[in-house]
Amino acid sequence: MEGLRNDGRRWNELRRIHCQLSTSGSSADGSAYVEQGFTKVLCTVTGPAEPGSRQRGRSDGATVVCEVYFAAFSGTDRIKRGRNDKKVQELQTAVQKTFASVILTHLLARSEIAISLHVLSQDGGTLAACINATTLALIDAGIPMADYVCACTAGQPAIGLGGGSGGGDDDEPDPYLDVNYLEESDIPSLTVATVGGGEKVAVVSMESRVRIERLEAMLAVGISGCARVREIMDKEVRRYGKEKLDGTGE
Amino acid sequence: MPPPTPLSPPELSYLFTSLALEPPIRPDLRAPFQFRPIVAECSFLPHCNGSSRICMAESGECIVGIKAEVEKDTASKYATVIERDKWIEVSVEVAGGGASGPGSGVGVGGISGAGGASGKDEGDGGAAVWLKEGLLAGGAGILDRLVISKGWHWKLYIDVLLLTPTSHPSPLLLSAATNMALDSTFLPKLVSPHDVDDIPAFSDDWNISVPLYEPSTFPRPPMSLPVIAVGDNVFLDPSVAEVAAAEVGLVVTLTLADSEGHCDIVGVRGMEVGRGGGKEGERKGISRKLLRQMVSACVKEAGDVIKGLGESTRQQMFRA
Repeated sequence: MEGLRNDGRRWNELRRIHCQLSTSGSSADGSAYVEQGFTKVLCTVTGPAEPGSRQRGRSDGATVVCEVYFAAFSGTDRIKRGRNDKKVQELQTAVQKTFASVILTHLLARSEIAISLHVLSQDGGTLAACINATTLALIDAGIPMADYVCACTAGQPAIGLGGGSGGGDDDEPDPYLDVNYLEESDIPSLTVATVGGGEKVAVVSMESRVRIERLEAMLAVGISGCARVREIMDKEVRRYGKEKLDGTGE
Repeated sequence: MPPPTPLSPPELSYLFTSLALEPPIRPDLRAPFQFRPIVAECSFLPHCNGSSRICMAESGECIVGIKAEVEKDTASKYATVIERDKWIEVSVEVAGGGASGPGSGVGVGGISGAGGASGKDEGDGGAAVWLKEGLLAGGAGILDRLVISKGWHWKLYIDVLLLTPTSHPSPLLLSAATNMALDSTFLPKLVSPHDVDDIPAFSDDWNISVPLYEPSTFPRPPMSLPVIAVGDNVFLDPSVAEVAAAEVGLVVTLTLADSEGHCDIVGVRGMEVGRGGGKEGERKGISRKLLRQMVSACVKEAGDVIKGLGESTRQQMFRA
């Protein structure tokens, strides 16, 4: 198995990404379902709507609130995560902050946009899948945004894959793109999200130690992954839009 | 508390009158025993032994994941009997449409004896209670299937995730999702002998795993159907507005008894309904005849629906 990772991918290959828009029917303003490998996330967006409480409204823009639920059956073992769980709150804040800055909130003054994310299955890259699902759900809800926010993960293995897997000019191993759960728990990894699939980074999050020289390479691989994720998401949005337009024409 | 509706008293009264007509007119022009379309998927969660997702236009979405864990039989200190009903744990989590949505989860389903409490876990009463009740009720025989070997059993965790815009989703949504998840549940195959009380060993090969409910054996997992009556008319699968206008409501739990689509009744519970078009405190109660009509309507008409759901489950199961 020269040159392959534990799930049979090469260092620069993404897992299968499957996305779907408008999954929840009429019960939410926008909804989306994203699968990245075995990580599966469902997102629903309500709004822009009148804020639930007066204090939450801002006169100069929309407020973005986010709730993340981990289904008890999402991991290998059954774990119930409460609303005050640290991991849940961290994820909530990350998604909320990202989208508060990307949504053109000044166009929607005194309103509230509520994002709720359901993690149905975890297999590495939960934050990335949450961000991608939220982007699609917001598009489905028709909320004005600067551009797609696409997220991807990258990890730095200690030992290279061997087998002449590209870029072998020095002895540093290539970073892994889109790490799965096994890789995530084994090697240092980071999540990066870009706006519009270009070089504009909106989120970087890393919770492990890594040598400073390797950070640049990991970021570069992550960003290139984001661009690929954007293509896949854009394709689905266009396909969905075309299908809807064709449907109304009849 | 009756389910909240967006309808005003005159609108309710109009709806009541049109439902009480002979023949009745339902707001969505359905026939009295006609069901609404649902989207149903199963076996899509890799970390679960069984999973399903049901989507209904009005009541939203319901995702069920079933996980099984190996557990040792334990008798409590004072009871010598093994408490087998603890082998199944049902929990219902309600996540409203966003942070400000009605996610409070109060009285899920509005079923009598289960309302009022938050309905999250069995201890609180609520939806989890009647879902489990239907499972354990006679005929379903699920507990016998959970025995692994001498001294060991499977503990089944049934987690229901409700994504719904209303706090009173149709009981059909919850029970159909649970039914489908149970129907598609597979357990690893035991490779150690049955009669030894050592730690059991299982095969890693999912291709020889054992279904919890062997296909084409009966009874099948139970399913609960809401039914309401207005005047002398009986309606299956009522919408939120219809429930608000109804005079009486029942939730009938059934299991499929044979391949022809005949059903056995496993349980009947009252369902909270609205004011029935009349004023507060004017409810008259219903006759025995109507009650029987309601239950028999479920038994007669629902067989095909349950059978259809079972067939669609079989097509989607990971080992079809």
